Amino acid sequence: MEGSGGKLPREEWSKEAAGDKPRATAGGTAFRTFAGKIQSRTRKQTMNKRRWRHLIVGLVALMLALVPGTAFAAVDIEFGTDPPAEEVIPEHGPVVSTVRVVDNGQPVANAVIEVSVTNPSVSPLFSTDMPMVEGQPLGRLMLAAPEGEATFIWLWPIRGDYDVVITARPAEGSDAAFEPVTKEFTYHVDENPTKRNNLIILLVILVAFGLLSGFVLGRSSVRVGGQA
Amino acid sequence: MMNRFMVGTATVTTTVLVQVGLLLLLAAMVLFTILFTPFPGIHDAFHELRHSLYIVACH
Repeated sequence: MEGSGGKLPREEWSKEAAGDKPRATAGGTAFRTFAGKIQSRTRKQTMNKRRWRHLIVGLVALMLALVPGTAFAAVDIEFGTDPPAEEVIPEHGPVVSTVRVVDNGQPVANAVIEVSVTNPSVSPLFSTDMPMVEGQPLGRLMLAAPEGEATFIWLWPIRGDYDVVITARPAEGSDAAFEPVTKEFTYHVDENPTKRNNLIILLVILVAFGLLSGFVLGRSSVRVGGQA
Repeated sequence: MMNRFMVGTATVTTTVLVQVGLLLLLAAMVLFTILFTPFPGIHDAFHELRHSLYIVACH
């Protein structure tokens, strides 16, 4: 069959295409061998092109992912207070809280900011001085931020971790165009150090009273025992 | 007819355990009265003290 009909079985073609050495046959074999080599090279080149294309696409995606704010820019919310949280004392103020809506670090104009704050939940064994407000909503504010920034002033009433949920959305009728974004913050307030010191003083007084009482009672008991 | 009053002194002897128990009870009552009683007259008088302690609830 080989070389006579000018046709090769499909298996032979596939072998040639895969790079197998063609068999030396008479009549047209040289042409088939040449054609097989060309086809093999073409396939290899196609495979190489695909690989290169995938590699380039992957590298570009990696670069875009590694450079923040270039391709995946999104509106972000920043929250802070003056004085900073570490220096805030419950029921002492004023504490100026600032919310900023930014896009790549730049303020987003014409935003509306909604702030919702929930008081911390403290262990019932070590209550704060105002257990009624523990775990309760502290406040909910709707603030206009034409310059992308809004401030509000209030007192943080008790120690613990406050749950601050802030939502920013474009003002109605404005040209601001961004997807509404919600961000949750945990704002920690330490207890007033004076209260901690007062508790230590109270405990010292109680312990001293207990020791003194024990000493007096113990001594009188020994004396009564000795007389008896 | 005159009323007759008898005046005398009774000596009560208690064990150390009873004395300690009475002392602890007295201390607990004082602490509760100062720090935790809701009676307005006492509660208001010690309001600031309660707020100045770390773990004492007020409101």
